Amino acid sequence: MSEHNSEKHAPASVLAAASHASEEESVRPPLIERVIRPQDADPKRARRSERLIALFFLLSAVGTIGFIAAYVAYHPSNSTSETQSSNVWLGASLALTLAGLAAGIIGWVRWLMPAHETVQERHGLASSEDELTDAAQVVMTGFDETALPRRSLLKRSLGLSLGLLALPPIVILRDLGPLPEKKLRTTLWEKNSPLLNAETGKPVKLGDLAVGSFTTVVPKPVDDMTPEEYAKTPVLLIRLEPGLNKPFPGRENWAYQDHVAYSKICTHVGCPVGLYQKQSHKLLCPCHQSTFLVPEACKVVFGPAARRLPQLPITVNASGEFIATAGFDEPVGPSFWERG
Amino acid sequence: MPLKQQEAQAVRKPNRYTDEQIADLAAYVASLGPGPAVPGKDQYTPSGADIGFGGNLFRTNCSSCHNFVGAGGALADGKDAPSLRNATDKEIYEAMLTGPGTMPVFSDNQLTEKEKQDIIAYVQDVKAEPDPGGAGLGRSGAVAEGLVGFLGGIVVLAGVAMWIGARAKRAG
Repeated sequence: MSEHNSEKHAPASVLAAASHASEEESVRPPLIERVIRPQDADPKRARRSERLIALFFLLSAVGTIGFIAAYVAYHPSNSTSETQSSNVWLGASLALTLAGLAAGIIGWVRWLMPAHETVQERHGLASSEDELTDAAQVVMTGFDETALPRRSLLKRSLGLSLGLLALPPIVILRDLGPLPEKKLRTTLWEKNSPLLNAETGKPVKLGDLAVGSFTTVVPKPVDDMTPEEYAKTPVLLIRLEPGLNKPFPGRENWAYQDHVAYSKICTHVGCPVGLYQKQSHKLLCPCHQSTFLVPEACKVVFGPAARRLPQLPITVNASGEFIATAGFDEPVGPSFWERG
Repeated sequence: MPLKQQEAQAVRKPNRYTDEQIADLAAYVASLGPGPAVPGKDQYTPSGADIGFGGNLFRTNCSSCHNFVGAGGALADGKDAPSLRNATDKEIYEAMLTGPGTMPVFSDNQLTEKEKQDIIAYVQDVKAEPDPGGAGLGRSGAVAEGLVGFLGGIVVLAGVAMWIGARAKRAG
């Protein structure tokens, strides 16, 4: 132990030059031989390195002058192409300034500064016995002066006050609620809802869609919906080739003359499923590549979605406009905790 | 035209047929059955079009495949939606009318002639938009820029760190 102590207080020493007793080597890294670089051995080589470093610093100076020149030469307010030139040249010159400086400093350290390795001794971190006793005394004196053990009224009222302070963070958790109730299970679609074009707000009529077409429809104009309502509302109306649709058992009259309507909200995490591939009749979700086969009731053929897209039963009214014959019979969009 | 080979996605390449030969081919195909006619210049030229509304229509109907600035994107089965960078007014109009390949059809009842022109105006306007930063990186937005910045920057930093930490050269 005494040996260890004496070593700790030894002055910093150059490893290569120092000679140590053999028992000290067990606690130290092995001695490293002094490094003789080409620059150390040959003064000409050192001068060449010095010139190279100076070149880096000069490049840095050129960069700074270039920065000022670019600032003076280009005025971003004149035109967009001048903004582009200004951005490019300001950035490039500043990059040259900083990179030249960095390269010069690194080269300087690596080629010219002494290459020997040194050891810096570490002093013990613990305080001395005397200091520890003094500190403990200060703390205890302070505690005695509060007289807390004696004054039980203070002790209890302080305990009550601090204990109550723990409650507000728990109470404000109430703001996380209320629970969504039935909002996740229902949409604005109901019996006789019109199928309106999402952009123009006009009702979609039989014959508007050519074979191989699709369009996004909503039950009422987008401006009349809250964002929460709109988020789960969009429906894709798709016209398939005649006779291609294979209705799901129990949904035989949900399509109308090769027109089918499915929720546009992916059952995975709720992205809009907008990539309809006319030839393969697949709907692809751009977020995670869930793929739904439209003629087979939008069953999942690829990707992470767990359920088919919900289908909206549709028909055409007397004036030739598409309407829904009922709302969705299941929640649209991704799974949620209470969905079951 | 003609197609180079049968594959998932036909790539854009220089025409081997002259315009006249293509017109002859189209006339022959038109004689076989009904279909939309080749649009006239006044049909597809967006004069006085509403670019803002065209942008709304583009984002609802087109952007899910073609990206919101028409940069294109991937589809299923090895196909992709091509970039619209080199597409002319006429080509965009014809594509909406006929639905080439896997693209859905947008008939005149669904998107009127005027609405198609609005979309064309939006596409051409957004293509002409300058890139003040220098490189547009496909205009895919902050994600692409962040990725390039991160990957490029990390490689440079790793190289510099290796230089700083490399063993010193020994003489002789």
